[in-house]
This record gives sequence, structure tokens and C-alpha cells, in this order.
Amino acid sequence: MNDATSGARGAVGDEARLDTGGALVELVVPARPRFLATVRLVAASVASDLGFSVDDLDELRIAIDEALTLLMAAQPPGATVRLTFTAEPQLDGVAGRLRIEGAPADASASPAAPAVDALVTHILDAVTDGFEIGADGFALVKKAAHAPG
Amino acid sequence: MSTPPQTDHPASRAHRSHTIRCISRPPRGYGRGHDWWTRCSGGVGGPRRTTEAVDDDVGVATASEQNGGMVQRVTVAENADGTLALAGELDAYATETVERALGALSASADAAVDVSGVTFVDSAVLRVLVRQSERLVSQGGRLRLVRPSPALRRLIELSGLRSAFTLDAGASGDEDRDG
Repeated sequence: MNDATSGARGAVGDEARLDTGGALVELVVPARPRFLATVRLVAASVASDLGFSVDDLDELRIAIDEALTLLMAAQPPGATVRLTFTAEPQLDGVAGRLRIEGAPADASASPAAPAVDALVTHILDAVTDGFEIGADGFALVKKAAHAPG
Repeated sequence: MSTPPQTDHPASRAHRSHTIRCISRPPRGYGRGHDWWTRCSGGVGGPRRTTEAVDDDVGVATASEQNGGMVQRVTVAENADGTLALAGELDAYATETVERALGALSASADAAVDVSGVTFVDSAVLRVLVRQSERLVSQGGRLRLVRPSPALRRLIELSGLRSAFTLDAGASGDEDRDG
């Protein structure tokens, strides 16, 4: 899988990529850390509507924050970051899928590859059900089980 | 139908999203060279006051979370016992603020920071905490995180960095540290 990094709890294979359906929510923000909180808030709201538990929401917020922080740091000045949130029903719940990509203001400006270290990889592995880090962005998968009863 | 209570919080009066909360006295360990004295006290030796200054460069607090009518993100404040208190959402945007607040702590034998109000924390701030803890240890002191919030405890456990911190449960006096 060329230069991508995958989570140990389940790589994001073809069936899990974020092009499997229409976008539930798309969000574009400047690639600046001051917008991290905004993105976490929106993502948590969307996931809450999908039935994520409080713990799942907390883990989703952590995952998005870690991925966004790295991606934002790799973007040239003036860039934006686009998040695409989709959801797929599962037999036992729902899978929220996020695609996070950088978009330089100047198309000729190439973003650097996100500087992923062991700590971030360790955290993403713990809080997601799969992740993939490529040169152009991140894909995250977070599943939520149906509530019992 | 009751009327919602009016809030006088400065952050609710303006759309400016960066504010630094100044408190009436400098947190314990803030020396005379610390920014607090120029930003909040009217200068070194100036009158004590409680105020809120706006500062885009520092970016201590931003409007990102509604909490009982209060809009705030990160606060650096002082508890009644003089302990430095960090609260709010500690992400990459807050690293400079956290680094500055902890960096001003002198290497006493026991530098305590109340982190009970931390509602979110990420690896960027965790690195700052590790760095500052190592600094204090190298100077003969230590950084004690008092009453760590569930969010902070969780990330510390998730990251496998439990042994890097001294955690203090607070009033009970319980303290735990691995390694």
C-alpha cells in the first residue's frame, strides 16, 4: 500500500474508503489550529445524531483532532482542510467514515507529507476502528454499536 | 416562560474569539519577568485587578464551547490556594499558552497544576506536559498534575505515557506514579 500507514485494528480497505456513498456532511475550514475545536464540535454533533455513545464521541474527537493537527501543520499558508463525513449502516450499528484532505490555496503549492510519529499512531490505533494516512490526507473509520434493547 | 439570564462575560459581548483571562494575583511561581505582570497587573508593581484583556497573539481562550452561557476555550487561572489551574480544551492551538504557563513555574520541589477542568486534550499538549515535567525534574523539582480530569487521564492512558506523570487525586492526598 505504497506510503500509507494503516491502523492495526483494521486497515481501511477498499470497502471502507469514503467514496462508497454520498457525503453526509462536508466541512471546509482554514488549515489553522484555531479551527480544531470547531471541527471537533461539528463532527461530534454529526456522530451523536448517528447514535454514537459518549465514549465513542470522545474517541472520535480525539481521532479527528490528531489527524487534523498533523494535516494542518503540513499545509502551506492559506490552505484549507476539507472534511467529508459519511455513514454506513452495519449489522450491529453504524460506521462513521471521515476523509480529511488539505487543499492549498495555490494549486502549485504542494503540501508536505504529514509528520506522523509513534505517539499519534498509537493514539489513532486506540481510538479508531481503522485509519489510513496518505500523502494527501487521512481516512478514519469509527464504528458505533446499536444501543442494547 | 422565564427570560434567559443575562451574562456579563466579555467573550459573550464580542465576536473576538481570543481572550486572556487575567486574575487578581499571579499564580504561584510566576516570577516578575512573566507576562502576567505586564498583561494583567498594570505593569510590574502595578495595581492588582481582575480583568480580561484581548490578545490575538496569546490566544488563551477562544469561543468554541458553550458552557452554561459562558463561551470559553482555555483558561489559565489561580485557585484559592494559589495553585496554577489549566482548564478548557487543550489542543494544538493552546500549546503556546500551556507551554508559557508551565514554563513560568519555578523549579520548586513540587510544582502543582490543577487540571480538573480540562475537558479535552490532545497529543500536542501532552508533549508539552512531558517536556515541562522533564524540565522540572532536571532542575530537582517535579510537575504534579492535581485532580486530572477524565479526558486527561484517558489520553495519558491511551498514549502509554502514564509513567511520565505524577498524578494527584487531590483532597484525599492520594498520589500515584508508575515508574
